[in-house]
Amino acid sequence: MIEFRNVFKRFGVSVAVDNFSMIAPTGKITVLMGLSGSGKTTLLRMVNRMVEPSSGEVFIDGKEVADLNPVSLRRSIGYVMQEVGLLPHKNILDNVALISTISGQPKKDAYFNASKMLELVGIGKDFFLRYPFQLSGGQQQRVGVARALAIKPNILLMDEPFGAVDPIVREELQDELLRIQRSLGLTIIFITHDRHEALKLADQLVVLSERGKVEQMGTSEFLATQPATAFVKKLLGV
Amino acid sequence: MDWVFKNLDFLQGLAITHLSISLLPLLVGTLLALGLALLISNRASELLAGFLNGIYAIPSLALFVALPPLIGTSYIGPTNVLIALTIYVLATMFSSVRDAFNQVPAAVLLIANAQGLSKLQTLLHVKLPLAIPGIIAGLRVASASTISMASIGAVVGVKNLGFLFLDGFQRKIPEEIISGILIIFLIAILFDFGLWLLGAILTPWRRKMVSHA
Repeated sequence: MIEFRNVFKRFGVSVAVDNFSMIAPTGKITVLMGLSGSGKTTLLRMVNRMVEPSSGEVFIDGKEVADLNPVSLRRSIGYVMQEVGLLPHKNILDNVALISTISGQPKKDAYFNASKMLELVGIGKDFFLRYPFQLSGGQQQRVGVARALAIKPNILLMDEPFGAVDPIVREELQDELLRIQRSLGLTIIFITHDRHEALKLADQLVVLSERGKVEQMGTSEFLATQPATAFVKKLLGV
Repeated sequence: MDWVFKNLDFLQGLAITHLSISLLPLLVGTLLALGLALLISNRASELLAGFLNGIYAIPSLALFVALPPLIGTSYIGPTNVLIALTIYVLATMFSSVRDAFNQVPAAVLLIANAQGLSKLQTLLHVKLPLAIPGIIAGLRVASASTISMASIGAVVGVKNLGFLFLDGFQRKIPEEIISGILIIFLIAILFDFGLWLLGAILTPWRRKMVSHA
């Protein structure tokens, strides 16, 4: 369980998040949906301490993240983003195994696990020794997911991960994410501004307007059938 | 040609001095540039890059004779030439190294941070390997200019290939001058090839990129 409690964030004079509280339940997908400037990425990065709240607390399973070592915290949480950020000078398998080998896992185990994760996301052995630039955008994003899973995380943070792939591939990736999430029981916070994606993936959907203001929170069915505000109605297109 | 064969040992000695007086500044200057580029923040590095460019504009002979009173070395001899050449290498390499680091894609650095790579691990696994092509490109320019400038050290008593120009000019021996030019040319090409090779060895992934482009 990930909990945000009265979180504020200021960057200089501008307020990015103004009093945000939320619980992301264990083993569920929580989707943060909002326009740019809603503070979603800022909130996501507070979970692994890439961003520190100006005030308020973030807890993972009751432990405040501010008390945890940022390096080991980040190595226990998978992070996936739109630009993927694969290392262009390492092949696919090396990319996926990197963190495990750096963390001191025996090479053999790390690479065995990496190949399992790649197969889990539908990247076949033929691709293992290729370089990122030899893959399509959709394939790169699959590798990005495999890399995040390779550290065997309980939590996955996903920042518009499928925003740059074409609609058909996006559907496939969403289906596979759901399958993987159900089978591994992952707790996921997923950012999107695509209403279709939000409604499809969310166990819990959180609609944000400006600066992390929660317009409405609940199951996607609930928000789709009973939007609380005109903003929610407009954003979800219902 | 007669002159060359008669003086082969002499030429060899000059070439070896020339090599060592070029290699050391290239190595030390590049390491200094790497260190400074990593330590200094972006805004300050802009100022430093400008300052170093200004230094690069100072003629080498002027720097050779200006350094001794400033740092207390002897006017004659290799020390101040080595220091001056190191400063020139630093001056050109600083911008090359800085630009090479700045060209590392932001997304790659962001994910390195998000995955919990330490600063040192990010440097070793991400920044340095991706900066190698830019650093090597800078080094190829720096090596040619260092080999060229080193010959001016002959004026302040460093007996390297530059001596052939002074001596050949004073004693009117055109063979001597031409041999100097050719040997310097050869050394520069050798260095350049060596650096190219080093770059190719250190960046095996780029060969695939070229064949796929």
